Amino acid sequence: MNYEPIYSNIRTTSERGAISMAIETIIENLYKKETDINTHIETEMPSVIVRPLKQALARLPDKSPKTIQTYLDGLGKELMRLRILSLEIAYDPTEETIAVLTTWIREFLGNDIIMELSVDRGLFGGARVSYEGRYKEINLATFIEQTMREQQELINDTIKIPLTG
Amino acid sequence: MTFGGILNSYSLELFTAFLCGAIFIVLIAHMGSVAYRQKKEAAKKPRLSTEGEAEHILSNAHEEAVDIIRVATAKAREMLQSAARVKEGVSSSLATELTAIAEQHKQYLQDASLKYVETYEHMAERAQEEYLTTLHEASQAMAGDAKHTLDMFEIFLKEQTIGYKQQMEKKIDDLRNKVNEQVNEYKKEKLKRVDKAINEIVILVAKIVIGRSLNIQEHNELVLRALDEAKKEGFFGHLEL
Repeated sequence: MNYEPIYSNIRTTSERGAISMAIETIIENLYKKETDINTHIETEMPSVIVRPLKQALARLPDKSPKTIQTYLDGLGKELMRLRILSLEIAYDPTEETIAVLTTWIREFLGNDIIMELSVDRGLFGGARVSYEGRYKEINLATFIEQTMREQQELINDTIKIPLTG
Repeated sequence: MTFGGILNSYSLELFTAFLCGAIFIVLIAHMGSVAYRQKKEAAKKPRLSTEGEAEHILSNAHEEAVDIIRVATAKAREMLQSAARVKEGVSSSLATELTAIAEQHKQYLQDASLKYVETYEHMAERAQEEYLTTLHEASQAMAGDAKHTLDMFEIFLKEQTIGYKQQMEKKIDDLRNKVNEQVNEYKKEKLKRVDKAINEIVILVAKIVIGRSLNIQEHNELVLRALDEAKKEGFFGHLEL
């Protein structure tokens, strides 16, 4: 089954956690009498997931609890397979921050990647990026150093002191 | 005195003694014979007087004896002369023979000596040649041994030299590597400290210059720039679309 229309809307690990819990709750309520699956989805799932999930369930061949459970179990497993890009930033991320970063990730890296965001104010600016064991820190100091290296000739000329050799 | 002379002298004396003895025996025998004949004649004649007869007999005997002695002496003299001549001849002959024998012996000895000398010289030459050959071979063998020993020693020295050289090179390399490692570590440490100091300075400067004035949009831009930098350096590799 194709779960991409759903997981491509998940942006962070916390959102994935919330969705996983929602899936468990919905499955628990599937076999209860007079259960409305759509109501459960609307109340349990994050709003960005509600619509694509409803659409996906509507396309199922039958609406039996067993079929829905199979689909939801598959979705839960697929969520666990999503790759995680860890980002440490110098400030508390806002919705705008998450949206901007997600746009960048979807554009350059893919739909099956979610962010794990954390805060380190010591960075002051920039980010500490880690992915599958690799690690890189590009903070404000790095940018300034980089700028200084790029402008070294100009700086040397300015201060008249050779920095190399 | 030579051997020939001694032999000659002893033979002549013996011969003379033998000759005198023979003459004396003949004389005694002749006197006995004469006395017996006179006694026999006297027995046949009438006896004149005993004393006269005795004197007559003795006188005759004396005369006869004198004659006999004279004859015997003459004979003896002749015989002595003859013996002296014989002696002289024998001596001469013996001397000649002995001289000839001596000459022969001398010649033989001379020849033998020459032969011996020649043989000795020949043997000496051969011995010298053999000695020289042996000496040459020995010297060759010694030279060969010495060369072999020298070659072995040279090889040994070369091996030792190569071994020492390799050991020294290895030690020098080890030392160089160790020093390089120490230098690199020192360099790394210093660079790390310099980097840290620069970082701290830069952050301090950034804080002073920029302070807390960065807004969310600027923060977002910095994070996006960090992601762009990471992407540019190939950090995401296979992830990139």
